[in-house]
Amino acid sequence: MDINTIDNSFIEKLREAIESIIGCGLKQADESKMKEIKKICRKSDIYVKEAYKITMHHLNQKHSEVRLACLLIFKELFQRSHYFRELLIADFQDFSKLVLDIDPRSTLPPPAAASKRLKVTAMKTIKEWSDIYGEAYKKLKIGYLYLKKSKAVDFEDMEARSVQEKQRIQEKEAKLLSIREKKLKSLMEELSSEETEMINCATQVENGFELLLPDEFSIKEHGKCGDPSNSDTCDFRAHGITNNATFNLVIEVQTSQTIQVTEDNREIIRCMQDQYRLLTSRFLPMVFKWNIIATKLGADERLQKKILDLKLKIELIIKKYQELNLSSCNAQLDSSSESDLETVPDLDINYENDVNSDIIDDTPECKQRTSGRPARKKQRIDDKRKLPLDIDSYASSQSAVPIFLRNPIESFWVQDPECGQGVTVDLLTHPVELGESFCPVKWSCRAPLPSGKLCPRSDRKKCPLHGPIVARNELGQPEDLSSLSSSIRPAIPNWQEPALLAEIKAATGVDLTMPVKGKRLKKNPFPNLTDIKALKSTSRSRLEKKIFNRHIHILSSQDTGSTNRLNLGLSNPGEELGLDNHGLLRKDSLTQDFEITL
Amino acid sequence: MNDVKAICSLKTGLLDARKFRSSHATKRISALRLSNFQEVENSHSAGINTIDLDKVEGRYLLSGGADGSIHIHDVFNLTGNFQFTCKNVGKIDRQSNHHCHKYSVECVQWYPLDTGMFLSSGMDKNLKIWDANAQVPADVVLVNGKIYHHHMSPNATQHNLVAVASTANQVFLADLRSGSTTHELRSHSSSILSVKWSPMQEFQLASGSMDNRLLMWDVRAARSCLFSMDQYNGRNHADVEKTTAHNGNVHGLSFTADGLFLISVGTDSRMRLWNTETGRNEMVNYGKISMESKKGTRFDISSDTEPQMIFVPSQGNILVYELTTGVKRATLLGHYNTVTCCAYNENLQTLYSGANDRNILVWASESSQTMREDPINKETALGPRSIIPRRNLTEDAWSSDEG
Repeated sequence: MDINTIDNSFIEKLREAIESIIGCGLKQADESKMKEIKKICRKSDIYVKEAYKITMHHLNQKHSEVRLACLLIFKELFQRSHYFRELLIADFQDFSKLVLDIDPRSTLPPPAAASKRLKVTAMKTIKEWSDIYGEAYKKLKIGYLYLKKSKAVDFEDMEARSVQEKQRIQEKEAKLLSIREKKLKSLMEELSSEETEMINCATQVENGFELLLPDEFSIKEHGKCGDPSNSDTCDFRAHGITNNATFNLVIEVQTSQTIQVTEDNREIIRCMQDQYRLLTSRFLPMVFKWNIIATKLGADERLQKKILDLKLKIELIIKKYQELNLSSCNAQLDSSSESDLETVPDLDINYENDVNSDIIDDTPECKQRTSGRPARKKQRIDDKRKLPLDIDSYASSQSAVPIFLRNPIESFWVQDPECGQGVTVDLLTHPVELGESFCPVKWSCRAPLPSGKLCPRSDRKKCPLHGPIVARNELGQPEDLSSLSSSIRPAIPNWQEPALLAEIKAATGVDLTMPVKGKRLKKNPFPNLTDIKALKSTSRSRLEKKIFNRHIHILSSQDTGSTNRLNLGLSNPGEELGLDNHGLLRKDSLTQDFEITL
Repeated sequence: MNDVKAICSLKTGLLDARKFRSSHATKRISALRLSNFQEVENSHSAGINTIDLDKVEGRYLLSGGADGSIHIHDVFNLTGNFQFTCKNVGKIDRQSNHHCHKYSVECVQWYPLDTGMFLSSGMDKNLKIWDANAQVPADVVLVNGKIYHHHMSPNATQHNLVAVASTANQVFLADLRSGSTTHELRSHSSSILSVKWSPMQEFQLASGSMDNRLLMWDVRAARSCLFSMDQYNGRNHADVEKTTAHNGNVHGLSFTADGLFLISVGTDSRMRLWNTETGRNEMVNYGKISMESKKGTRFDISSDTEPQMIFVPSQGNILVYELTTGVKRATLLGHYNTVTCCAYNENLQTLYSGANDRNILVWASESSQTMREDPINKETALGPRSIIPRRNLTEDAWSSDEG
């Protein structure tokens, strides 16, 4: 084969074959494509060089699956061609940076699984190459030793952990340890600061128990005195009861002791109630929290025991307190004499009820009056016709409104107690003629939903989700396809003629074709590969992008957006209701001013 | 055949012995490649900043590393085998010798007339004069500033001065007899990265600095420099004080063996050839030589070849240029990080290079015939197990089913 003749078609074929292998992703590469590459490369070293260039170009992509595929191509060609070996060995440093995790500044790209596989494969391959070809290619041998010694690549370690990775793991562990220690320290501090208060509180309650039930011990003593076992043997017969006789004696044992609230112990009980509240609401959760933290962090036994002791103590007190049923004791003095605040009947309640009945349509009367949603809607629209008074619009619709402003007899303003109510109502609201009466929408959108159902929205002309309402069959497909597509398709501008575009492209090399709406701008050349962008776009990253990107132009655009919305919100109801535009125009100008000041 | 003819004509006196020698040297230099048989024992644990081969025998290779260690390797192959590893014969590092440099060693140099002594200097501001056999410093000269480079005149008979380039903006001259600095040459306005004595004029000294200037000195008149090299040859600059040799730091200098020319490299990726008599830029275009090093780059010139060759480190490679024409003859690939220094061995026509990948590599001309020659004990190697003949590793191996 003559070296000087380069056949571009072969190079193109080579490129296609390599890209098809890369496009397979992690799947087994097509053998025939590999054979084709080898077949072409065998013809001449020129093609070997081309193959090397193309593959090296792809190896630089930030995608581990692509790199892995490239490595496999490299492996095949490396075995075959001397020239290829020389080329690769000349660039061996760059190559090893791309396939091994040796450069801390540029780690292997995602996806993680593929990058791990890439690393292991690369290590195996490089070791193999160096074993076989190391003698003949000195630089390869040096490179292998360099990776082994200087870059500390452990070729025996099939876990393929790089030094950086090990370091990262170590750092992470150290970080966790330091966090743990910090937490422990803060726990200790909290414990030492709160402990005394807690113990004080507990002691107060305990002392309270002692004060309230000082005779606990004596009661027991007393009970011991009256132990029935003593009298059991002697007394029955003396009372004339034979041994054979059986009888039942029911003794009610009061499990819960009740404390009578008196002048003397009121203060004690109150204090105990306070302390109890403190114990249950503050200290008990705190101790629970400490306990959890201590076990989680694996604190030393002494600390854990201390916390447990505290917990038991508090729990015991609480139990005792509950047995005594102290919380039910009313330790408060009579409220009339004691409290400064007099209870006032809540005036607002009535008012609220009124408002609620006005606002909420779902009250029983409403349901009776207007059954079903369309009826309610009609009601609401009728209500809306009584708009707040706007002097401009009022003037225009004056003819329809009877004049109440002046008493025809008196030439001065008279507050007539009877008609005053009507006048104010009419001053605030006035009827507006819409010219048409409300009729409920009788159809629904019925566009197919992903769930398999049909869209139940009933809009008059256009569904906000599915576009204009068209006639649809029972499956939800529009019946008249042509009309729909023609209405949707935008008009193509003159300069978008394909012939003209082709001419421009031929002349200038610029492709001016407009991207079709809804179609991806650039087709993914390798559909089988894992989409890294999709991997990266997590909800977190998207949010981060929004939160941390504080460009002024975005803010301003958002502002104008909101004012636009404001504009729409103000102008739309007016148009719908057929109002005269005078007042609204004014509002528009107002909002424009608003925009400018923004 | 040509070799035989040349030898015959040499014997009959038709060919000048020097010419014969240089033609052979040139031939060998042209075939320079990474040696398959020779290697230098890997003893450095950090990047290598500087190497120097002794001028007496060309036998001992001195190398200084970024961790302050200095190693000496014997490069003579006395084993009789092709395969040969240069043994480490002297080691000065932190574990073995407490005299070693505290920080990175930036320059090492053998005493030009004897291998019993060498000098080293580095970032710890010390210039140490070592007894090579005892491996203890005979004297230490503390210089005001970190030392980037030092040089001792190879042919001086009337003085024993060592020129020291340091971060203090002066060139210091240390006198070996007194063991202290005797002169300061002041004119540079920034750190000096490189100094070189002229091999012909024993009082002539060149210094390159971070202020982009390259000055020529006569140390007998230390008041001011002889002249400043001007890259534009005075066409663009009226003010002599503002002349620059490079548009970047001048971080490497070397005289040709005859002392007529000076070569400088700078961080502007240029190499320039200067006439040492007139200070004129000879305007040889060597093209772009990218160099990362902010510190000095040590390059070498083969003086015994015709034309003379320059070996310049450029990132991970070593470039071979013809001195007078600027033609690039070869690119030597082998290192895995920035190559910092190289030294040429005139006796063996081999090149040694040190780099930040901790390797010292040997470059020699080994013809493909010698490379494919199997070791002498071929019979023992081919035991009963290796029935299949070993395939040649440097040949293509396309399997028969392809194409």
